[in-house]
Amino acid sequence: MCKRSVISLFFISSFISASCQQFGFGFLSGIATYSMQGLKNINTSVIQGLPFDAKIVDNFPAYFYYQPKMVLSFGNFAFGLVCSFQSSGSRVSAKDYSGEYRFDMKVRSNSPGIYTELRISTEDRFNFNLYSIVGPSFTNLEIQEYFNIANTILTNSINKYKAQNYYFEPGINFQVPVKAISFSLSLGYLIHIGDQAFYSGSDKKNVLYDTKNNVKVSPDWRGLRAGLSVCYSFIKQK
Amino acid sequence: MKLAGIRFVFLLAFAVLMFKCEYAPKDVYNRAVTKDVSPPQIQTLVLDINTDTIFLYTDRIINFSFSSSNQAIKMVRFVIDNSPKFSINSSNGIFDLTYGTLDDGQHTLVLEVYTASGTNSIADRVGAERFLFSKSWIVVLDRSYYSRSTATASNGYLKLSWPKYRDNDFKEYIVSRVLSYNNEVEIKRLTSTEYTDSTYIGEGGAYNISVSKQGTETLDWGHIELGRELPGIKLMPTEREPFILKRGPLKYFNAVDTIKLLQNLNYSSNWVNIKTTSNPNDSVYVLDSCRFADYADIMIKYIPKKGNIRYTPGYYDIFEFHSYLTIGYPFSMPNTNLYSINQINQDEFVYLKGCDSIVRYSVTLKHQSDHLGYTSLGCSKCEFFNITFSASGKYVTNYVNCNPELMLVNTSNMHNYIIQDLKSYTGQYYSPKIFASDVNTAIVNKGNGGFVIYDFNVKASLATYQKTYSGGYGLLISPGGNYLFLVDDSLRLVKFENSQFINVWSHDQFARPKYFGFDGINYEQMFIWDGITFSVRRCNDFTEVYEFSLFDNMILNIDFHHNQLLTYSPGHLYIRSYTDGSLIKDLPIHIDASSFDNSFILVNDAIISKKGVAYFNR
Repeated sequence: MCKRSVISLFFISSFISASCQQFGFGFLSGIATYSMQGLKNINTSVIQGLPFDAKIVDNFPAYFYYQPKMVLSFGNFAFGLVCSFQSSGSRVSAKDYSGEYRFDMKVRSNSPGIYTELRISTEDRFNFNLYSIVGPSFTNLEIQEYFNIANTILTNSINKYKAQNYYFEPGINFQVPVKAISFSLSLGYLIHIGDQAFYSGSDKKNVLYDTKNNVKVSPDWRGLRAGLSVCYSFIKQK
Repeated sequence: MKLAGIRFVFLLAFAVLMFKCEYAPKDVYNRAVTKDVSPPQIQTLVLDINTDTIFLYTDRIINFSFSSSNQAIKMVRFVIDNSPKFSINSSNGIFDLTYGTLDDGQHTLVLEVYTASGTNSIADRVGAERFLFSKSWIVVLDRSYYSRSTATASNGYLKLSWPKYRDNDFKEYIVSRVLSYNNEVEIKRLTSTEYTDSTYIGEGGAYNISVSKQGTETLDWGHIELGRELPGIKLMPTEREPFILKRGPLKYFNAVDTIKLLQNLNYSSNWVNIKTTSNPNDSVYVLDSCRFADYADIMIKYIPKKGNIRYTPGYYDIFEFHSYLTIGYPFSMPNTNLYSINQINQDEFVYLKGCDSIVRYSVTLKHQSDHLGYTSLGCSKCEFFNITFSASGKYVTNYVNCNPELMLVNTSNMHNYIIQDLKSYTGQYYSPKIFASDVNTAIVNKGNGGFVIYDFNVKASLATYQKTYSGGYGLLISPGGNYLFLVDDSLRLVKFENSQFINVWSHDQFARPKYFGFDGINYEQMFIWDGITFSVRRCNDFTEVYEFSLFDNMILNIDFHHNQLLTYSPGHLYIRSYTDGSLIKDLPIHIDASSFDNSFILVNDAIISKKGVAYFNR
C-alpha cells in the first residue's frame, strides 16, 4: 500500500510542483516505541500456560520505522503526503537438549498519511517547525507457534490476522538546509485511534481474543517517534 | 537526467529499507537442565495381584499404590495385549480389570509405572521423558464356565460336574438346590468338582453351583436345569389278553425307594393300588382287572429315598406320572374317538378320521391300507358329512364342498369317486343320508317327502316314490339295487323292478324289528331280528331261509364274509355264528356297548372299537 503510494506521489510530484514556491521529497528513518499491550498480555498468558519455564525474550521493542514523504511549501506553511512503515514483534522461548518451544508474534503496519508543517521560527540557518500526520493504519499480525521434542515437531502453526485503524502523530522538527538538500531531526508521538481487533480471514467476527483477560486484542502503535530525514528541494525560479 | 538520478537513488534506498528491515525476533532462552540423573527406586505399597497368572471369571478391582525414592511418579498405566486400558496421573488408584471387554483365552497384562526423569527438561516437564518400570502377568479369561456344568447319571444316581475354579482365592464350592424363584437350599459344600445327589430320582429341578472365595465373596459358578425324567408307562400292543403295561427305564434308579402303580378305570374316580415294588427293574405289569376297550388312567408314583428335599406334600405330583390308556391293540391315534366305522370287505374296514380323512385299515396286515383326503375350495368345513355305507360296504356316500354335493366312493379304490349335485331332488338346504346299492343306484329322499331311485351312471332319477299321505322315506337298498326297505304308513320291504315299486312285506312302522337289513353278500337275502328270533329270509317273497333264537341285548354288526354276528349284553361282547347263533367268543367288557360312543364292529374275527383299539380273536 505504502509502496504504491510513494511511487504514485513520485510521479504526480512533477505536476504539483508547477504551482508551489518549493517542492521537495525525502525520506525519514528513526526509532519508534510501540505499546502493543494486548499482544503483550497474550505473551503473559502463553507463559503461564506452559508446563515448563519459558521467557519472553522479545516483547515488542522499539524498532526502526521508515517514512518517505513529498512536501510542497508555501512560505511558512507546507503540506504533503507520507507513508509510514513500522514493525515490531515478540518471542516466548524455551530451549534445551530435549526440545524447543517458540511463540513468535510479528506485527507490521503500512500507514499512509497527510503531512502538514508550520514554520515557527528561523535562526541563522536552522528552521524550527511543528508538524502533524494523520491517516489510516493497516496492520498485519503473524503468530507462529513451534514446539519440538526429541526432534519430533509437535506443533508448527502459523496464524495470520489483520486490522485497520487510524493514527495521529503531532511533533516538532529542526531543519538544516544545505543548498538543495535539507536535514531534519524530528520528534513526535503517535496516537492510535480506533479499536478494531485483529481478525483472521475475511470474517471480522473471527477475532483474536485474550482469553485470560477476556478482551479482544487490537493493535496499539502508540509511542514516541524520533527520526532523521533527508529532503531534496526544488526552488522555483520567478 | 541529474534530477531523475537523485530520485532513483532515494527510491532505491527506501525500497531496500522497507523490505530488509522488518522486525524479526531472534533471541532464544536456553533453559538450565541436569542431564545425567539416576533412576529412582520404586516401592510397591499396595497391589492386589499376588500371582503370576490371573484367572478372570468376573470383573476384578485392583487397588495399587507405589512410592518413588526420588523422582515423582507421574503416571501408572495398565496395558492389556499391547493396548492401553487405564492410566492415571497419580501414584495410586483403582483399576477395574473388566471381564466383559476381553475375549475368552489368554491375555497379557502389563503394569507400567512412569516417573519424572528429574532433568527439568522440556520433555521431562511435558511427560515425554520418563523412567519406566513395568511388570507383566498372564490373564486367562474363561467366560464359558457358567454353562459348562453338566448332569449325568452315574450308577443310578445324579452326578453334577462343573469346571474347576483356578484362581488362588478359592475356598470351596457350594451346591444348592433351587426350590422356587429366589429360594434355594444349600445341600453341600465341597472342594471337588463333582457331586452326587443320591436323593434325586428325575422329578425335575435345578441346581446352582457357586464358588466361595476367601473372605465373604461368592461367585455364581454354574446352573443346571433338569427336566422331568421319570418314565411313564405304556400299554404293550397285544392282540388280546393279557394286557400288559411296561414302564420305561429309570435313569436314577438307585435313588428310588418305592414304585407304586394305581389304576382308575372308566372315569370312576376310584383309585386302586395295583402294584407296589422296590425293585427298579420290575417294570412289567399284567392288567388283570382291565377289559378290552376300558379307559384306564394309570398313575405311577415314584417315592425317593429319604433326603429328597423336594418330596413334600405340595409337590408329590411331580413324582407321579399319569398314562391315559384305552385297552386293546391300537390301530389309530390313542384316545381319539373315531366315527363311521364300517366293514367294507372280507378283511378291511374304513373309518372317518378327523375332519378330512377316510382311512381304510387291514385287519390282517394291522396297518392302514389306504387313505382318502379331501378339502373343499372356498370354505373351511368338515368334509365327508353324513357318511353312509352300502349294505355290502363296497360303496360309501357322503357330502363334500361348500355348497354340499354328494360324493360316491368306491371303497376298493377310494380315489375312484364321483361327485354329483342332487339338490334338484333333495332340495337346496336338505342333505339326507344317501343309501347306495352296489350297482350305482341309490335312494335319494326328498325334502318334501317321498324319494327317488337315482342312477349315478345316467345322472337321473329312475323312479319316484311318493305316497299321497306321508310321501314315504327310503331306509335301505339291497346291494343289487332291486329291494328296498322304506317307511310310509308301514315299514315295508318293496321290490324295485321296471321302475315300479312292488310291496313284498309290510309291518307296523311303530313296532319295528330291533335289527334288520340286507345281506351284504347274498343279494337276494335279508335278515330280521325281533329281539328273540333272528331269521334270514328271501327278499323276493319274504320266505325263511333259516332262523335261530337270539336273546342278547343288541346286535352290533354282522360280518357276512365270515358268517359271524357281534352282539352285546351288559358285561359281554359275543361273537356268534350267523347261520345258527352259536357262541364263538364271549369277551367280557366293562363299558356299555349300547352307547353311541362305545360302538363296536366285527371284521375278520377282530372286534373293532370306536375308541381306536382292536381285539383280535385269532
